[in-house]
Amino acid sequence: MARITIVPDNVAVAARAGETVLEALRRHGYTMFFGCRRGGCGVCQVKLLDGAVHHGPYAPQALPQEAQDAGMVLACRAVADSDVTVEMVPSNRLRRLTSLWATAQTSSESG
Amino acid sequence: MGVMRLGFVQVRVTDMEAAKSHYIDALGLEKTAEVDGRLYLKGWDEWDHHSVVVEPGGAGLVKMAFKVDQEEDLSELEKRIEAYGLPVRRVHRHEDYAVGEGIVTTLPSGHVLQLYHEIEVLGTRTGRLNPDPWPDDARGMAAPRIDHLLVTAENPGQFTEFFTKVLDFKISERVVPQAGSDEILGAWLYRTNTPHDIAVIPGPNGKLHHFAFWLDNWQDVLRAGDIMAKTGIPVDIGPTRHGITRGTTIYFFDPAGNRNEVFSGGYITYPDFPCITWTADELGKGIFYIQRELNDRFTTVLT
Repeated sequence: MARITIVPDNVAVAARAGETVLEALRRHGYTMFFGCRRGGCGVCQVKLLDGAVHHGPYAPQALPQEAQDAGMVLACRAVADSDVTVEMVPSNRLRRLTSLWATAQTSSESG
Repeated sequence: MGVMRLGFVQVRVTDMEAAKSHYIDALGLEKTAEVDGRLYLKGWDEWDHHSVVVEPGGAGLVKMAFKVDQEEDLSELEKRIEAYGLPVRRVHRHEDYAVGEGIVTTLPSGHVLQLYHEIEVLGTRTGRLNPDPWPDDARGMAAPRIDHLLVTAENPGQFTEFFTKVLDFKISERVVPQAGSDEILGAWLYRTNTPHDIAVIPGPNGKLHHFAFWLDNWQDVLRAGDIMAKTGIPVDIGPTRHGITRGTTIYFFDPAGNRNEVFSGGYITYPDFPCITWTADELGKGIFYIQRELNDRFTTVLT
C-alpha cells in the first residue's frame, strides 16, 4: 500500500492498489480543486516531489510536455507506484471535508 | 433559408472503448458506424446518420457542423463567410463519412465550423408510419437527440457577431456588464425554435465547454443522474435549473473529460422572439437559478 504525502500540509494517506491520488484523498475525507476527474482538463495538476507514479489515460493538453518536465502530474489520473510526496500548486489547496470521519479513517488505516 | 440546426459535434477522446461505454451504454446513443478509427453515434429519435463523432486523440472539440436547409445555401454562405474575411475550404462529398459536400472555416475564436446539407438518412426504429412513442431496448439515459453546444471565446462579442450577421442566428439571451450596455459577455444563439443551438461564454479560444443532449422532462433528468451515480460518471453540477433558457440540467464528464449535459425544458423561440438580457452581477442566477452562484469548476474546466 503506497503512502501519499501532501505538502505543504504534511497530510499522509494510504492509497489502495490502483487508486489515484485524488481518489485516495477523497476517500480519506480530503478534497482539493479538481475538474473532470478523467484526465481531460488539467486543473488538478500537482507537483511530484518524490516517488514514482503512472498515469491512466489523459489528454496531452491536460498535461503538456512543459508541465511534465516541471514534475507535474494529474491527481485524478496518477497512481502511486511507491510512497510519494506531492505538492499542491499555489492556486490549489488541500481541504478537509469531514474532519471527524477523516481522523478515524486515517488513524485506523495508518495505525 | 441558411443554417437549419446543429448537425453534429466531433470530439476527441483518450480511450475509445471507454467512450463507447459512456456514449452507447450510459447515454444510450446508437452506434451507426465505426470507420477509420472514428465512432459515429446518433440519438434514437434522430433520422440522420450521426449527431456525435468520436475520435482518438485526447480531449476537446474537433469541429462543430451545422446542417443547412438547401444545397444552394452552401455557396451563398461561402460568399458571406469570405466577405466577412474568413477563408473557406470546400469539403468534398464523403470526405466525412456519410456526409455530402460542405464548407468549412476556422472562426476567429479558433473553433472549426462546418456547414453541410446532405447526410445519409438512417431513420429511426420507431419509424414514420403509425410510430410508437419510444423504441424498445432503449439503454441508459436513452437520449433522443443532441440539443446544443457551448464554447468559450476570448471575444464573445465577435463570435456572436459572426453567428448573427453571417449565419443569421438570433440571440435568445445575452449577458452584458450592466443594464443598458450592449457589450456581449455571453450569448445564447438559435436557428431552430429552441432557446439555443450554440452558446458562447468568455474563455480561451478554441475550447469546448460542453455539448448537450435533450431529455423529455425533469424526471428523465433525475433518472439520468441516477444512472451517473450507478455507473460512476463524474458529475459537475446538478440536477438544477438554468435561469438562462429555463432548462433543467445535469452537467457531467465523458471518460476523456469532455463535459456533457442532459437538458430538458425551456421555452420556444421564433423569429420575433425578443432578446432577454442578464447583467453580469446576476449571472450566478442566470446559470444556476437555484444555487445562484457560479462555481470554479463550471467556469474553468474546459477541453
